[in-house]
Amino acid sequence: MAEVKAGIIKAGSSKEENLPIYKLEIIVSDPQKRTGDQGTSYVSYQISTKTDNPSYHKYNDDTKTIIVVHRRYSDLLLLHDILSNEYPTCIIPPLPDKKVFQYIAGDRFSQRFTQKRCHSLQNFLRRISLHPILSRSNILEIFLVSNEWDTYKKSFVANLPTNKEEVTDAFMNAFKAVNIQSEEFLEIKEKNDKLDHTISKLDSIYHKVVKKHDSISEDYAKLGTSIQDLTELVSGSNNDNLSKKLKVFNDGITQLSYGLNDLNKFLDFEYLVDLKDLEHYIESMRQLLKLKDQKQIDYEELSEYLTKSIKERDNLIAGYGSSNFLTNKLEELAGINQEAARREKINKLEIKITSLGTELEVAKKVADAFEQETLKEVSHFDGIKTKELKESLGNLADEHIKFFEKMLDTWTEVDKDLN
Amino acid sequence: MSLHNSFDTEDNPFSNMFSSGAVNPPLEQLQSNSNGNNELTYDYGNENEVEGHDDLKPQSPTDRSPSNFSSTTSSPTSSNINYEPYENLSKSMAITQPLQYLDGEKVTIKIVDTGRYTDPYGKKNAIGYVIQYNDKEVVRRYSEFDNLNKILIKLYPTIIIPPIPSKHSILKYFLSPIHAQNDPKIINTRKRRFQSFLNNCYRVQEIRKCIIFQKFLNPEYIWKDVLSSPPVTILPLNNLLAPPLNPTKPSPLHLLLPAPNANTKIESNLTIDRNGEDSEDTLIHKYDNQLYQVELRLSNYLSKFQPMSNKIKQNKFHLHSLSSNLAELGAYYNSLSIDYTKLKQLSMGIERIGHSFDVNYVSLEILIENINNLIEEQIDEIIGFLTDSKRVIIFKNLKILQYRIIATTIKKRSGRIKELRNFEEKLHKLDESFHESESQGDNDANLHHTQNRDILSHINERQVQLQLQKKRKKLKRPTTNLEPEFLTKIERTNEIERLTKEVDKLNECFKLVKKDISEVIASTLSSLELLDEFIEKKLKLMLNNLTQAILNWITESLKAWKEAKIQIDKI
Repeated sequence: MAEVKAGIIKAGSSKEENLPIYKLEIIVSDPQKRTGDQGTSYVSYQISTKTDNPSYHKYNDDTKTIIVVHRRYSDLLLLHDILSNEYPTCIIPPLPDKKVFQYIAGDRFSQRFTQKRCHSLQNFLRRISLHPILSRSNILEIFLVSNEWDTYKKSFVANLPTNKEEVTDAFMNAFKAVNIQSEEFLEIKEKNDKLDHTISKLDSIYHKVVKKHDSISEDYAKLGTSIQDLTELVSGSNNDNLSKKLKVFNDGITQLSYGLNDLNKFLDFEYLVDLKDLEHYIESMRQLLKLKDQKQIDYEELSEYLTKSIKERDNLIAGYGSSNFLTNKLEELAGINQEAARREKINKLEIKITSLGTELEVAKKVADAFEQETLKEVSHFDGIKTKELKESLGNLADEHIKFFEKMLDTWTEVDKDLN
Repeated sequence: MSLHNSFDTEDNPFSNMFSSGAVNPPLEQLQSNSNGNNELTYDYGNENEVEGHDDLKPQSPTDRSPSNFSSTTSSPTSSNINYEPYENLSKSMAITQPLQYLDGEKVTIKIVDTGRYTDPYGKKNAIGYVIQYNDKEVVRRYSEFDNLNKILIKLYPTIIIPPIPSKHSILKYFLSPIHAQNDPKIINTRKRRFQSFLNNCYRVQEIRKCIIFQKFLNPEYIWKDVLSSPPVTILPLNNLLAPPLNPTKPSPLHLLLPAPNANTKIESNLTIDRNGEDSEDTLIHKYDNQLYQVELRLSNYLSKFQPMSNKIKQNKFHLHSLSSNLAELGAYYNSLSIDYTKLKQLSMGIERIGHSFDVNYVSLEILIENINNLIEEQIDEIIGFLTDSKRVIIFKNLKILQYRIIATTIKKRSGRIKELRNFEEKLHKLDESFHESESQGDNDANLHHTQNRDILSHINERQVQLQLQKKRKKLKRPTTNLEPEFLTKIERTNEIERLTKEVDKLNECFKLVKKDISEVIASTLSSLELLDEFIEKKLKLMLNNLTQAILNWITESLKAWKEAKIQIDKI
């Protein structure tokens, strides 16, 4: 246990500043249904990496080459597990849910599902690439570059420890709260909760918006057929002019329907996924904070124990017996030499106190280091989140501009043709 | 039983009217009319004198006055009013955009205001609509508009009367009996629709000249008084029994016409073929194709517009809920931007996104308002027109039916007269040949014989009559329906005389109806064609207006998003 903790401290503190900063862009695209060795189907995603890190380009000469590999969801899941095992103090970006339901419903090869997952995986890898520590991990490089990922995979799976212990530990401490919470963390928590609340609200409204867009787009499709009927009726008369106008207008309505559909696809496949991912990311961050709290709780409990022991020893030295008058009486009756027993007790306590003292020191170091790491992580998280928000909001604005610009073109044309 | 059969029975109005002076309409539904008819003295001399319909030609389309759209101070939805942070948004521009009127003309009659109004008798409290026409203002309320509409329908059976907005739904009264009447949304809708109604009326030459319509627009007249004075009080109960283009003009002969209804049918095998002479073919078929075309088209329009109206209503509902979601999004992005006040650029970027959604919301609300005013209400109005066109078409068809009934009856009667006369002639010839053969014999005996024969024939007549009566009893048919050989000579001559008189009268009616028919068809056709033309113009206008509204919506939203994008790029 202590070794691991020491490892954490080492991993966190030193080696960052001197390392050069490389660009790392990862794009996940093109979900494809494939059939594996055992004849089972799975979806494979194309992962393209663009980087100026020379170690990525062992197999080719040009650093401008885009490295392309194909991975499936379970590969990314493995990457996620390895990373979280290797970097316990980092916020490992969450992966999209396994979506067991879709597996049962046989829906997991639908375009809607794979597109959404593709976008979510993209978010996952981009978050890793933006993270100063995670982006340098060896396993990431192997994942992004190697053609022999499948052989690596087996050894990784074997080495991956099960971390059940920690789970029960965390569970036991779940209802304990930290005694002294620094204001800094209180603020972080509060901010997180607020953000989470807003994002989940936005999420639910966007869901409604998507539904509304769908029904509106459907309305226009229906209206289109109505106008079509009317056009036919009018063209029956000798008024070609009006039927032409109706046709022009109907084309506009149809375009509006398509445009709304496209906008909706973006909202559904990308923006909603962004929001969901952000919610998950916030949740991961929350988990980290909990872990940090737990380290602090460890330390606090230890120090409480220590003060208790010291107090007991002091009492004994002062000669007031241990704690209980009744036990003293009983021991007297049993003919135990009180004086000898007292000394023995004091000695035992002394040993305990010294060992507790060193352990406490270690715990204090771990807790402090963890806190420092967490603060760093939080700032990484904020940085990544800001970039992410900028990008997804930018996309949101772009898609809306695209939609309205297209509609403006369409309807300006309609207007021109009408007059 | 077909009408024709009923027409040939004893209680046939045309068989009876000259003997009793009472008209019994062949159909029971119209019994109520017969009492009034009893009191009239008939003067059949001037039935052709129907005047005042020289202006039957289809009116020129330039005659129409524009319908109203935005001239009313239509209020944006209440949420818009409260939307102050975005005053710079040109929402007022979007709503009062100079929208095209029909033919670009100005609105002649305006409704300038609405408000609580107490009628001159100080009794009822209702919403009054202030009508401005010729620099005069007059206040009328819903029920008065409703009256006017109903009177015009009675007064002009061949003209499509512009529709008025429908009454409050009962449900609304049920839900909130106090507020239903004062719902500003409904009042505004009615304001627009009433203005449209009045201008649509004005567009039609007949209505524009109509004294009742003029009184409606004239503040000097109290509407109640208009209602209790002619011509309102002398409106006919059944327009089929009155001059079609001027139903309040007294015309006793019209009261003698048959009054078919929608269930009335004529036996199809009894079509008229009088060698083209006076045949209905020339009269009706001249317009047949034209009428058929326009009727078919109007009924097609109705079948297309009704579902379309529903679709638009549904769409409006969807857009409404979308816009409220957009407003929510705007609010949440704004609160998100406040959470990020430390990161100024990000915060501002998010704020712009929120702003874009706000603009989206407001411009969408305006679009919805426009869809409501420029499309939904217009389609409702067109549907109202089309529904009323059915009434006009039905009237025209009944009038044609009336014409056919008379023509068929004349044919039947003439046939009967012919039948009787032929029989008489045959008898006469038989008699003569009998005479001749006798006269060739003894001349002396001849005279004596003749006397004898007269007596004999008299006795014979009696016997014949008795025999006939026996036979008739077996046949169980009324005398008018019997073959001539079953009738006595006196009966035959009586019937011929009676039928000849009846045919004379029928021919007079026929002339009247013929005149009616040509008037009705011409007037109906012109009214239908006018509506056809009106719908096409309305459609064009609607397309243009909706396109403008959509463009406004797009432009506003696009502008906001572009601004947001610029801000986001600064992060």
